[in-house]
Parts: sequence; structure tokens; C-alpha cells
Amino acid sequence: MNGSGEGAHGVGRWLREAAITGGIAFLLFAPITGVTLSGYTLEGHWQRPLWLAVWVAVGRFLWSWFRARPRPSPALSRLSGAFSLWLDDHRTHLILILLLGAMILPWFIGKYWLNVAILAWIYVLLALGLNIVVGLAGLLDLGFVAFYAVGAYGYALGHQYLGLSFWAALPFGALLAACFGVMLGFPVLRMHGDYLAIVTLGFGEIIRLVINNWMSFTGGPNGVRAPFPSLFGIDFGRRAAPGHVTFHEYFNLPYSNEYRDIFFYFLLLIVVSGMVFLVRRLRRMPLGRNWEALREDEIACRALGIQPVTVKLSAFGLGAMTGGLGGVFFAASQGFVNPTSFTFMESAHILAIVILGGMGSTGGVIAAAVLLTVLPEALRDFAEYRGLLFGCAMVLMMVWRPKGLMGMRRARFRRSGVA
Amino acid sequence: MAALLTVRDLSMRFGGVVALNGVGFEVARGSVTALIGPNGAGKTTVFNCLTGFYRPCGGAMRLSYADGLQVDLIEILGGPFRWRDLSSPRAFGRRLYYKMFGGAALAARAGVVRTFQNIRLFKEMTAMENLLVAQRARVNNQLLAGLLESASYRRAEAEAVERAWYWLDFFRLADDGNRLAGELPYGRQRRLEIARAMCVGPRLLCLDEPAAGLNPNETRELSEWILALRRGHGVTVCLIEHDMGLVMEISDHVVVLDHGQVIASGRPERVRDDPVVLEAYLGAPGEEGW
Repeated sequence: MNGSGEGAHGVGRWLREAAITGGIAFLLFAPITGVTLSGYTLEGHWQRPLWLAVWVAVGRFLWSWFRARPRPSPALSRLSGAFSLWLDDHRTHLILILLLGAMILPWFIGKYWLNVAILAWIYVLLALGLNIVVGLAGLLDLGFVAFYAVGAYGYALGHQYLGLSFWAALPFGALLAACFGVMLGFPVLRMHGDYLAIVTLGFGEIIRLVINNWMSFTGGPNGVRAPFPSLFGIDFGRRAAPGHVTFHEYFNLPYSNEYRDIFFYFLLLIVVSGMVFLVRRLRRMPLGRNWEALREDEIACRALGIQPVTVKLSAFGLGAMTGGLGGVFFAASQGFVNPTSFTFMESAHILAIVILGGMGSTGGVIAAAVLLTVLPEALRDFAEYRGLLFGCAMVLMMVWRPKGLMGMRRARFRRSGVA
Repeated sequence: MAALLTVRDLSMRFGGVVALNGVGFEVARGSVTALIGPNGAGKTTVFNCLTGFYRPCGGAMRLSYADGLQVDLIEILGGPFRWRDLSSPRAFGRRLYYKMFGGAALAARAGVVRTFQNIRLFKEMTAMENLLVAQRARVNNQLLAGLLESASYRRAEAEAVERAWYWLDFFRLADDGNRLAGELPYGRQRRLEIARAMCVGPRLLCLDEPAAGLNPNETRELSEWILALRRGHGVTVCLIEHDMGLVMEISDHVVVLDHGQVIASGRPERVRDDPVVLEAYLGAPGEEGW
């Protein structure tokens, strides 16, 4: 009796709150949307603010209902606990299944989506690199795009001036980016948090501006050409360069540029898989542990004999190297690079992936990278609202899952002596 | 007993504030030495100098181990350049190296390991990982060996895990090995921090107020542990503590600081009855006119 009375009282209160919120919304929206200027006369559209106010009121009511709803039942949480245990046991199987899925994927999606998938893998690579710096070592880097640019231009300019092929450019671009990472690392060794973020932001802009303005060397805004990779000297074009063979002639197939994209997709898949393996190993290694320790407490690290200088530089170097690899792939997939690809927005995008994926969690970062690349393509009709959706997603994440889509999984240790 | 640590004439200034003024004391090998004094006397400043977090303005700190190894702590903290360095490139190079890479990390590698007054664990890492991080010098740090999981790397890791379990057992933390350090109750965090310091393999263990915030039972356990560490693990202990019961019970030697100066030192019972010490703690009799 008492309980039902209280429930009715709750609904009444929700309705009242919804009405008040709706009223405020109406007052706010009325001058903005209700009155339009047409020629020299004002036209009133009273329905518009009314509808908006109704939507706000409904939203407010649902919100109240949602807040008052009982917590998820223990059975549900037990189920999710059992699921995560099952996941722990079958992790290798799951990874194999996902890998298999990624391998057969290119034969089922069209050319357009294949290109989206390639872009998604490039972002996975970038996010894995930034994850080392931000997620593991805790060094907030807002200029990660600099290393991406160094990798991309390392290939394009290396090809133009030194005649580097794609295969030579892979290690070259990665090493070059790693050098830049260490170079950036030195001056910011003593910085933390916001200050570090600002300096790295500046570094990212410096690289972009140098590329943009050094016309004689980088071609400035006109960009540089970056050729597509060949496979053991076999080209993927319609016609081969003198002295080369093309893929379709070699295998006696009709020409289609899909071979080229599928080849590139698999190449990326191999590199990304290698990188994932590397990062997972690194996390369990002394170096990875030191990165995390540095993120947690630098003073305690020093008291234990860990030299923050080397730990930070290694994080910057390895992170930048991964970013550089991503850059080389980006340049090759686009066939052309110019400075507009390396603006601050790109850094913010990669950082959003890392945050959304859960700082430090490899699986989460991969999922977030795929999600944040594929979703905007799928929702092309809503392109104008992309930023809005993005912002909302970030806010919701921070409220509900501050540790990311998937939190970081910690290694568990068992005693060797005890069975 | 021979001195493990000799501090002479140590001084430290922050701008115009003289935090330490000619502090000198000795820590005998295998002893438990307590550093006491009223708040603001400079105890933690001494610790920060010893463990390399501050660069003292003057004085000498020297470690001499039983195996004959001598370490000049001032030098590895990156002392100031001297004119005579110019004539000897080797000395110059050493000084430059210590200036760049010296400090607390090298003091820890030389065997001086500390804990903190406000616990500084790696909170988002498990207790086990905290102890593994501390074993930097004993694991295989080579990148390639780790990536390929070479035999020597795996052996070193397994040994490190075993050692970590040993210390968890020692401090009765065995059930918490896989829990996040930040989730542990306060008393266990204190113990874990000492366990972590022991994993570094210290010769001089510096404990900064290890009993702060512990209940009487936990404090009693702590004193047993400290004595066991000294007895069974060849560690010399230097501690700052306000709990006089603990200090009197376990220490062999007490150094009293006040206003950045050593005002008394000696056996605990002697220091306890020293009028100068009583005055520093309680104020001079009749000073306030009551």
C-alpha cells in the first residue's frame, strides 16, 4: 500500500519535473526557432518550439524513470561474470576466430568497404602506437600526428630523393619516426600532464608547418607522390613499367584493381598482427611494467632504481615507431601525401580512439579504432552531426566507463611450487 | 661495529631557509638507527638527501660496505663542477654523466632504498607487479630477449616471481598477490611498500614513518618484521618514527634532530633521559611563564 503510494508519488514528481523542464525548453527555443525573418516580416512558427519542448520533456521523464529503475539483478551480473571468465579461458580461440574473420573479410565486402577497412587497420596501428605513450606510460601526447607525418613523408620523400621502395621505406620510416620520437622526448623529460600536452601539441604543429612551408624540399601544399608497393617486383597497375610484370599478366587474370587492395589489406593485417603481438609481449616484459610504473608514480620509480629518462624515451621511441609505420602505409594507400592529412584533428581522433578503447587495453583500442573509422563511413548521411555524436560518446564514456570500453586486463601470477 | 653510512656536515638550504645545518651521524652496519625529532626538524630532508631526491648544498655522505665497496653518495647525485675537473677529462665525464642520469635512481642502485611517509605504491598495478617492477636489476631487461622469450629471460622472470612470492609470504600478503595495490587496506599497503623496497635488494633500508596510521597490533608486528629483516636478510635499517614505543624497542642507536641540527645521539635509553631532548620536544621549563 505504502509502496504503491510512493510509486505513484514518484511518477507524479517525474511528470512535474518533465513539465518544468519542457516549459524552460519552450521559453528558450521560442525566440530561437519560433520566429523567422522572411523578407521584411516576422513569421511565427509556434509548433516548432512546442515540439522541441515536448521532446525535451519526454527525455526528462525517461531520464527520471531510468534513474529510478532498480539496479541490474544479481543474476545478470553473475552471468556477465561467468562470461568474462569464459572469455579468459577461450581468449586464444577468440583471437583466432577474429583473425580468421579478418582474413576472409575482403572477399565479401565491396571495393569501397575494402578501402574503409584498410583505413581502419591504419588507425589501429596508430592507436596501438599512441597507446604505448598515453595508455601505458601515461605521457599525454597531443602531437602524435607528427610521427604519422614523418612516416608518410619519410616514404614519399625517400622515394623521390633516394629512390626508396616501399619495402625499404617500412624500416626507414619507422626508424626515422622513432628518432623524432626520441628527439621530442629529450626536451620534455621533466614535464608532466598539461604542460607535456601543450609542448607535444606544439611539436605536432611544427612538423606540419615545416612540411607545409618548405616548398623546395617537400613540395609544400602540393604534396608528394608515393607509389604503391609491388610484390616481389610484380606491379599491380594496369600496365607495367618497363622491365616489370603486372600481377594480372603474371597470373593470367583479367585486370581488376581489387587485387591490389586485397594485397594491401593482407599486408596491413600481417603488420598489425605483428604489432599486436609485440605490444602484448611488451606489456608483460620489464620494459612494459616500467612504463606502467612510471604512469603510476615517477618518484616511486626513482626510489626503486628505475631511471625515468630511459623509460620515457623508450616509450616515446617505440610509440613513434608504430606511428611512423602507420604513416608509411597511409602514404602508400593514398598514393600521395600532403600536409592537410596531418592536422591537429587527426591527433585528437587518435587520442579519442585510445581513450574510448580504455587506456592501455590492446583489445579495446583495436575495437575502438575499427568502430571510430567504420561508423562515420556507415553514417555518412549524418556527416554534419559526426562531431556531436563523437562528443556525446566521449561524455557518456567518461560518465559510465571511465576505464574505456574494455578495461585493462592485468596479468595473473600463480605460484610455481603449488599445483 | 663499523659504520655503513657516514654523514658529515650535511647542509641543505631552500632559498633563505636553512633546513639542515651541519648534520653528522653514523649508521653502524647491521644496526637499526632511528631518526627522531619534532615536526619540521629536518628528518625527511635528511632522508631525501640520502636517497638522492635532494642535492645537498654541502657535506659528505659515504657508504662503505662489508665487501670493501665505497660509494660517495654526493658524487652520484651529481655534485657541482670543480675547476680541477677541467684537467681530467675522465672526472669531467663522470660528473657530466651523474649530472644527467644521476640522482635517486643511482642511489637506489647503490643500495639505499626507501619507503615514503605517504605511501607511494603503483596503485593501478597488482601487488605482484609492484614487486616485479622493483626487481629491475635482477630481470633480463634486454628488449630482444623479452620479445623472443629467450631461456635466460624466462628463467629470470620465474625467479623474480618466486622472489616476489617469498616477500608476499614474509609480510603475510600472499592472498593479495593478484589484487590491485590501490585496493588493499591501509595497513597492507604499508607492508607492501616495505616488501617492494626489499625486492630491490637494499643494503640500507630507509623507512619514513613506517608505523604512521597503524594500530598497536600492527605496530607490534611491524617491529618484529623490522628485526627479522635485520637478522635474517643482512639489512641495515634507518627509520624516521614518531612512535616512541617502537623507537625505544627496536633501535640500537637514536639520532635526535631539531631545527636542522643534531642535538643528541646515542643509545635509546640515554637519549630518552637527555634534558636537551626533553626540552626540544616539550619546550624549556618555565619558558612560557607557567
